[in-house]
Amino acid sequence: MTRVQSEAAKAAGLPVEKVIVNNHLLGGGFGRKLEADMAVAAVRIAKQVDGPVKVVWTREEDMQHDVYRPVYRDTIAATLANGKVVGWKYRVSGSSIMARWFPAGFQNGVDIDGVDSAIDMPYDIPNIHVEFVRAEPPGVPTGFWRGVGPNNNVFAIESFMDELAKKADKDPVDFRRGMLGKNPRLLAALNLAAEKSGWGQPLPDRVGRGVSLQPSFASFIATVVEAEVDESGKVKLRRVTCAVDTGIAVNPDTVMAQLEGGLIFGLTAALYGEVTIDKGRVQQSNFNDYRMLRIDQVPKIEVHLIKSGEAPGGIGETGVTAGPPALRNAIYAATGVALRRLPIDRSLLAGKKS
Amino acid sequence: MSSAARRILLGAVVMGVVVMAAGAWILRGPGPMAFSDGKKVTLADYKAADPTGVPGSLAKAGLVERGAYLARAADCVACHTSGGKEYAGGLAIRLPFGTLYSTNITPDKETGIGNYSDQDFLGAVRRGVRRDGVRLYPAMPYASYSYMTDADVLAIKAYLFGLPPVHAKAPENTLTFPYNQRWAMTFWSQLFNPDTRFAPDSDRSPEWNRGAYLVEALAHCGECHTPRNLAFALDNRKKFAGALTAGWRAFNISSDKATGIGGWRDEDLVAYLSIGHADGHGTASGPMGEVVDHSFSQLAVEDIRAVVAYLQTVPTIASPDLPTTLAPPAPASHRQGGTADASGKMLFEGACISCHGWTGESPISSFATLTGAWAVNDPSGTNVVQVVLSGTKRLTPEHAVSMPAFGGAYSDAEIAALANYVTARFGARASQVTARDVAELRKQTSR
Repeated sequence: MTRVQSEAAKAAGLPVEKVIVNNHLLGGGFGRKLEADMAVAAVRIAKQVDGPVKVVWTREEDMQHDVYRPVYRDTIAATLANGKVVGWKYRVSGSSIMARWFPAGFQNGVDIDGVDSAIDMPYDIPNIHVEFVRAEPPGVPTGFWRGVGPNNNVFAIESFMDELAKKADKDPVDFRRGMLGKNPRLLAALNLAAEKSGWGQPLPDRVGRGVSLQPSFASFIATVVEAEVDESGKVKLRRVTCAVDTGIAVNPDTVMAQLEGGLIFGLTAALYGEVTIDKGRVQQSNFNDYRMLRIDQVPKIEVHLIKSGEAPGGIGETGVTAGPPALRNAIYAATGVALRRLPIDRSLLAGKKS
Repeated sequence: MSSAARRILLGAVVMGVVVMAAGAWILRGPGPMAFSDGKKVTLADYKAADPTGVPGSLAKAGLVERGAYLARAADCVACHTSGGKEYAGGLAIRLPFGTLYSTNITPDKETGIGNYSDQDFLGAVRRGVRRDGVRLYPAMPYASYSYMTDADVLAIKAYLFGLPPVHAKAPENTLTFPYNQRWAMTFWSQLFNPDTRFAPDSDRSPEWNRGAYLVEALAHCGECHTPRNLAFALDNRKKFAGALTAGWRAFNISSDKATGIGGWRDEDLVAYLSIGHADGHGTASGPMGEVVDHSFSQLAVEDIRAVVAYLQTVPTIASPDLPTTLAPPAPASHRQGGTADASGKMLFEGACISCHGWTGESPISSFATLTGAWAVNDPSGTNVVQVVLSGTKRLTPEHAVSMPAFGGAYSDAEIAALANYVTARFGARASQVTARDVAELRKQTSR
């Protein structure tokens, strides 16, 4: 609200205290409504006309003149010894939203959001080095997206963990367990999710389970996705099992609802959420070319709450982060294809044997 | 050489010439109006109302205005525009042996036709010979345009020369050998472009003759709707029997009752041509949608009626692969009808149902009704795939409901499954489209 007020004042050429912002029930924001550009547009139009101004964008306008979540490139190098990771070097390259939106969060070349869940990685690794390299996409405004920095970092870390587990010839869950000695809350979540998801039990051909862990926003979450990949590369979500220790769950039903909704949100993005730019123009415009997961594609989702007396953690964004790496690892288990990019490119999966 | 040997040689040569002439005659086939066996006369000898030129309402219009009308009737803009400035060319026409790019026909002196004299322009439009003497490919329908009168061609030229010149060079064609040998088009033209003007049939009505002129000389309907022979020329033995062009199926428009337009009421044909839609017959999409937008929707209603009068006399020829009866509306319950293909159904209920309904009779707009449309009744599923890939946008009437393109976000396998579900549910027979077919159709579309 303060931001809307100050930007509206700037656009109107008025002192800040002359601007009154009346807040409405705004529906979902998902990060996009941290920007005040729509209010600025209303003010600018209002300067030209008599009477009140309401700004409504079509979905096409909204999608094609958006503030986009950043594209990142992650590179990780690791050393394995005795079935454990002993050295870890992680470089995150991408846009710094903080540098624009909250400069205090971008100091000495490091974006605190860009490295969230990377510098505080849950695994007990003796040697760890994390770098942030600011690389702005030319001409594309970037902003926050529900789940923020951890979306990228947890995806990179957890995807790479599965590849390391394979290298170490270990089961992905066992591999992670061995490095969670200093993180009992996440270990408990992992054990519960593994148990509830039937981890280790046989699956039909072309079906795999994938696991993902996250410490983000002081909520400790383990997620297992079970997915099937058909011969055309189409991915079917079969089941999602989530175990969460979010500290004191003030409203357990809301915690579950946030995780369920967040999982669908994140899995939708993992499967379909791609914005491409051709000759300076965003090619997607509406649901026909920017798909949503439909209700009949949504799998059974189980969320298991762990009773905890710890301080409540954040929960609204965590579900978004939870799904994509677990799905990616399920596809890895089902097909052997180690996807390194989101959204999932079905053409890389087409024709792959179980 | 003995006289006997000479005789044998001569005989062989004569035989060869006869065989070649017969071959050429067979290949060439009848002309587009040969089916009408009335007395053909030259325009000069035709005593009834002049079938050429512009309709009565424009009789007093200036040359440029008449040219504008005729250019629309000939639909020059459809091929000579590619997203950018009108008539500036650059449209990619994808053929099995490479890609052709349409040319700039704005009066730009360097990249357009600004230096064309009247004779140059007549030569290009009717004989397929560029100003520099190079042969055009018959993607330019000069074999049809050759029926046009001098006055009409030059009116179009006057219109084009009144347009703002656009400096735009079309990309180089990418045709492979031997198709990149333009000189070979000399022989093609010898065989397939008689370069003769429109000859009215004095036994037919003036309306029919006007329709014939519009259909054959200007609108060049046959270029899409008549199948081609081995030499890529129109095979008028199968006149208007339908063909696949630019990845879309142009359906049978002969007077066949079941698979052509013989069963359509005149009003339906008039509506279809004027606004791209007739209740119970579906909505024009793809290249035909463009024809309606750029051409037919802007023609005088008496011209549309003349086109219909002419079309209704084209001899019956059946399309054996099409069903003889169109499927009725599908059941209202999703549990009945369609196939067991769960993935196609899932896509349909996710992305299509809100406009098209379970019955195929749209709850939103008659333009979105599938029931009765050839696209869903065609067991090849070609046009269903194409509409799903590229969408369809009707410009007339204003605010007509349009369908967005789904090709960007849905895989070939998904679109194949969807097409097979749609044809099974709303058509007479299910298609068997594969992901590979969809990939192939994606490539053929002109853009």
